[in-house]
Amino acid sequence: MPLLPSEREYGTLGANSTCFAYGVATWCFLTGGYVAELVGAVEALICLVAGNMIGVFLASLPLSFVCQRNGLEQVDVCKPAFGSKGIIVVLFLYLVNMLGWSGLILVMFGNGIRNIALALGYDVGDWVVSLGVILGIVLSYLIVTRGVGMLNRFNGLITPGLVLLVAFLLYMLFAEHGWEAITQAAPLSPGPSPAVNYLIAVELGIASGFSWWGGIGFLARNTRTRRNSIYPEVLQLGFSSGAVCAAGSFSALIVGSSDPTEWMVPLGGVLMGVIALVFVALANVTSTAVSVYASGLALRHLRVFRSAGWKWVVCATLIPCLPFAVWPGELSNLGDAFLAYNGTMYAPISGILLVDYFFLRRQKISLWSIFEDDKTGRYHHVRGINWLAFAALLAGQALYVFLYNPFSGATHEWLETLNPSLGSFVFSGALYGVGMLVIGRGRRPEPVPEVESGPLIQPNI
Amino acid sequence: MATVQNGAHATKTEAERVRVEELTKRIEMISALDEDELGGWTRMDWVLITVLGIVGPLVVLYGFAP
Repeated sequence: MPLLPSEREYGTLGANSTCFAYGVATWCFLTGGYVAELVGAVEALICLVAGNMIGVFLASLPLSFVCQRNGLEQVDVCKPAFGSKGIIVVLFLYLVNMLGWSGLILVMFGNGIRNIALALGYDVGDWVVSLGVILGIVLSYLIVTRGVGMLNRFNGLITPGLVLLVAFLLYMLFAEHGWEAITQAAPLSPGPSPAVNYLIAVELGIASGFSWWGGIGFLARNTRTRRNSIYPEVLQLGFSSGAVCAAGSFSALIVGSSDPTEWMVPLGGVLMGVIALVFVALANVTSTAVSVYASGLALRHLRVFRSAGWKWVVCATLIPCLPFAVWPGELSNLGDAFLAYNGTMYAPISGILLVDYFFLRRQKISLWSIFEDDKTGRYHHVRGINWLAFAALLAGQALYVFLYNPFSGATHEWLETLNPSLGSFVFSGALYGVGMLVIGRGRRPEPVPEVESGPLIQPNI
Repeated sequence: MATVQNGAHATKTEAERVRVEELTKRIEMISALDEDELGGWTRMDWVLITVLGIVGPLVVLYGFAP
């Protein structure tokens, strides 16, 4: 259901604090750890803050205004470009993103339990990590099935705690080691070319920003003004989150490990380290619960889950996380590739949505057609799918992998002139825009009249 | 048994009808919203958000490139 202005919760303070609470999460530490493998502290700070701001801005621009104007979630907003049925593919990509993050954080939870045991003198095996993943899944299930109220209560405790934890990490880093030691610490496993390392770190920063795509619609549709739909996202999800990621990079560089659960004891000593680890473990469960909750809501877009009980929907979102219990090490080693994969998905999608909303539809969509499944709807395209948008999406992804393959780590020499996310954003958007004009014989899609009326023939709620 | 099933079907249909009615009402209300009710957005905002979101960060990234 689209949200009415009277139902929207966030003014300026609310939008900023909610974005901040989302932005400061344990996955920031993971991102910081990945970037520390490539570059030193100053470059990590620059790449993470500036890159994150660019990624969030480019993901927000095509979504924030339309979500805020119409009270819609981002998946619904994709219908004009991708088609009323084509959004199922976008939804699938979105779920891969959310569940991938959940899995990585669950492994971090398992690693945290193992490292707590190690700090207390118990040398336990790797099976504890798998057990931790399963425990995390069960705890997430218990939180999410108790509704958004329980989730908000946990978040209300965890977010201030995470701020304190980041302050604690920074205090220990600066008091015990100092800025000079931080800046002189060598990257953990850099490639042979400093320029390529920097460019990949920039890409990870931008991809980290793009990975907020899934939360932007939810935040924007809950805001009362256009300014609140975009400034807090760029400032908090972009700047603040990037700064927390950078604190993670500093810790990783000083400790010499990209695993956040290995930072706390060396930096804070056994007592403070174990307390911090216990807190990080709790924060990981909350982060997973938020991700699972959002995934469950997204699944509601599918007919099969529309009338299913909430517990079944939550189960359906948690089952794909089980492989992380079987292969925790192998899958978490792909974390940096997964981070870049966010750019592969969302950069071209964002380019297509930007061209569609601002240039082809001139910032006006038909709310009636968003909720119309019948073929008479404006966004039905061909059998519910706009194949051109998918062709542009695939072309953008191909360009991305051509420049930088996140799974093999292979790069092309053009990487030095063209950033993969920015390149695929522009390429997919341009290809889609030109293609739509060619299909329309030089004309934009038919404009939405000022006054439009129903009824809905085949409502898709 | 058939009566129970018919009753359940009728309840579901009624619930769907109410949902569609509510959706239709919301679409009408949101479509009729005046742009001013959604908060202002000026050219200055475009300049500011573009500098904040992409121009500034790109300049910083370029400046620190090895």
